[in-house]
Amino acid sequence: MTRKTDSLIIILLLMVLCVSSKAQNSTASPYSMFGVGLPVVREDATAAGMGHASVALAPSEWVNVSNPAGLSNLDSLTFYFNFQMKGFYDKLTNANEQQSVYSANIDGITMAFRITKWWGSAIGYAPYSSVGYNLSDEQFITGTGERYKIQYTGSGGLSRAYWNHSISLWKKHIVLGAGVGALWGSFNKKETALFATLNGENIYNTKKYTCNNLFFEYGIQFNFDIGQNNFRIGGVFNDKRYMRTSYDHIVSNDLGANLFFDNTTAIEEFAVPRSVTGGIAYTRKKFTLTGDYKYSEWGSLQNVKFGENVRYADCWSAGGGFEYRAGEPDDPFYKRMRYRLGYYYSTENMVVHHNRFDEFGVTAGLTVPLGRYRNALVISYEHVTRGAAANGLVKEKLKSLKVALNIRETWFKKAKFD
Amino acid sequence: MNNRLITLVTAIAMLASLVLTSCGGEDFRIESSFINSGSYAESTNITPVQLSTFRLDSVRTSGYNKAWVGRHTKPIIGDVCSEALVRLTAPSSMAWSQKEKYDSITIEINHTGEYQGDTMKAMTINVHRLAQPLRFAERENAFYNVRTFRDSSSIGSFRFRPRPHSRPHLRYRLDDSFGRELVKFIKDNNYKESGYVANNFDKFLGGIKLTYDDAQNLLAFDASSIVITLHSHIPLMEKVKNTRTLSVSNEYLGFQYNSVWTENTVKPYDELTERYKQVTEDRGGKHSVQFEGLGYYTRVNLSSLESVMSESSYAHIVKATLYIYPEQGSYDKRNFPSLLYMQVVNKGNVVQGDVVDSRGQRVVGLLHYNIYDEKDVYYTADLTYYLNKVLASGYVDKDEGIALMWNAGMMPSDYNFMVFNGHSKNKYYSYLKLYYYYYDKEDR
Repeated sequence: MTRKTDSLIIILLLMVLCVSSKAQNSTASPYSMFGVGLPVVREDATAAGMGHASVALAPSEWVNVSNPAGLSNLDSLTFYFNFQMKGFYDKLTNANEQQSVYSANIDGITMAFRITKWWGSAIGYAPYSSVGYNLSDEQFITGTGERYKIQYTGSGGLSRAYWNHSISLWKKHIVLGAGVGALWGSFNKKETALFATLNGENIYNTKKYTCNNLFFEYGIQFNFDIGQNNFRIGGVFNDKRYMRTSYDHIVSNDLGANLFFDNTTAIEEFAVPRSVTGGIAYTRKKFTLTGDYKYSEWGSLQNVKFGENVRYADCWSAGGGFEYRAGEPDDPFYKRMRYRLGYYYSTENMVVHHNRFDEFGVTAGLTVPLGRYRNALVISYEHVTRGAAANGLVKEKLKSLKVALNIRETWFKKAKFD
Repeated sequence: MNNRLITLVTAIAMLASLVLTSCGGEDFRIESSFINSGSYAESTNITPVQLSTFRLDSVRTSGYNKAWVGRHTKPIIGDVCSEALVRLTAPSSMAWSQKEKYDSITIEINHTGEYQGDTMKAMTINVHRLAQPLRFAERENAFYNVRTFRDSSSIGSFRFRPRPHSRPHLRYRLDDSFGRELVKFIKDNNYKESGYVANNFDKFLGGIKLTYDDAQNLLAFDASSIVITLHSHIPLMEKVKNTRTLSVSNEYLGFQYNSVWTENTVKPYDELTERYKQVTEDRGGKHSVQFEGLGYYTRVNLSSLESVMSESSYAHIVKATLYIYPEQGSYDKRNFPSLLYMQVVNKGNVVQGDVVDSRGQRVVGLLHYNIYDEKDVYYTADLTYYLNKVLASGYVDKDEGIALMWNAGMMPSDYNFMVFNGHSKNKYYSYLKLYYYYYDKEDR
């Protein structure tokens, strides 16, 4: 078998295993109970190690999925495949208690290649949002001094399949990008009222949302050199787009009886907010420095019903980091490793009980070459703090690890001689 | 190592770690203010019920094994009178020898220690001989009027004074005329085939009935302990004593009845002459009566079910508990029934079936006894499944009610007497307590 065949087998194996792997939550955050869940940043694990900043980058060793215009430097002879997963350890704290949760899930699959000298293309899958929480509360039964326990559980989330294209103009000084994608998925939010103290029936109040729509985004990058210094400026924009949502509401008891069922289709309740991201990158020899700023108009989604105390709000995030490349491609293994460090800060897209809360994290990353070829294992780690332990909120200290397998195979080389 | 193998191993290791990793931890206790749920639970503390008393046409008392005899004045309803009837069998061999001489005939009976009324008063108990054989009622689930067995004659009497906590074995002499008549019956049939006397004994004695004179109490006797003994002797060289016993066999225990009726019945309970008639709590002094020995049963009407039905369009009953409060002093604390069974009855008070729970088991009211507050004694019964089933049908039959029973069988008799407080009482009233779970249909 040829190397090309072997790689194809590995890629297919990974994809099949992805589909058949056990579905697990990508988050344990209580904040994922609102709306479509917590937004998931779509990015390569390489970018995750640099404070999630990559809008202005156009790498040739990995696929930049953060900006459709970031595909201009893909190697014309190479097929790129990226498979990455994310594991996390989340420590939840509020005024009552502490708890730790851990889980892992697939974070994305990407394939990319150059179609022509000026046209790069990437197709992939990544989660768009994640719902995963397991909470409980005790509330008074109105009119009595008795209490009952309520469990709130949520699972699922939205996925995104995308097809990005970049077109290079003016010797790649200007790169235009556009992406079309499909958002789809479903998530469940279940409220279980336990009346064990009364020896009464338990009630399961389950709401299942199924959403889908097309999704468009546009990118641009400017690239120029000053001496040995390379500067890139990038931007990404997507407009607000409502999703077609169907809604199943089932109330049942532990005797198996359906007490209430409601099925509503074609409600436009959830939406992708208008977002704009700008970034800048500077590269000199073995050193790359980059930074991004993103603004999302979540506050415009006023029709989303969270209840009285929670609403969406516009949010912004800023992050930056650097990468150090120790050696050249022909150097020994240990010299070909790459090291990354970053930091980011963001405000959350919701206001809970009039409290804005934020999220910040320190990131670090490492690229480990696999053998003599160009395949690599990319590892990024981040330590995130989200929310607060006061005012009825929850503080999260999240340690997450992204591991990506980047496969680069030379598939498109044509032999000149037999 | 081969580069492709390294890549493959790496890929498989990643997926394996993904599959093996799973969430840890129990549910996280969140603060209530974090949640914005449109659902909540609420209790309507006092949902009204209406109690009433109805009376079955007569009472099935067979197989009860308790022979109640006497008369006792019950509050609210008047004088309760009871007579006991039992059928006796003869031994298979009753042959009478030529030289055998009659001595006497006696009755033996055990007092169970149960009584209602004044135990300090002596009571005269008369033993009557039934001319007609006592038989099973033909309708198994019907109720019996055993007062039709009036064709009887006295064969003796005795006077008995009960004592508290005493269960004496009683033995009294019956009239010799009855004894001699029995000897004559045996002699007359002496020549016939073996077992003839035993098989045709009901032609001589259809049964016996225990009645009372001037009773101010009701006493219970163990019906299976009733024995009539014929004493005789044979004058040989020495006097050889002989006895023959007429007893209640297990086969005939089912032929044992109590005949119960009222006299000087207090209004409005004197109106309860038919099964379908009821005395509601507003006419019955805010009470209902439970006295199965007389056929008085309490019926609970869930009068607020229609308003509950309107609530149920956006709420579900997670717990429905019926509280039934007895009137203090109306019950015998020494013999407090610990269970209260429930049966669905229609407008005519005909039993439709048991009130059952989600497992198909009979719903039972449980006794709660507060040792610090004698008034705070009540029964609770879980009607959650029953109510939800009615509500799920979408139709509330206003004529449907729940009859309370002391016993699990089909309307057997019991001499426990209790007055229940209706909902219209000011304190310690009966009611239905509902816990609703409200779910917001619009909340998404």
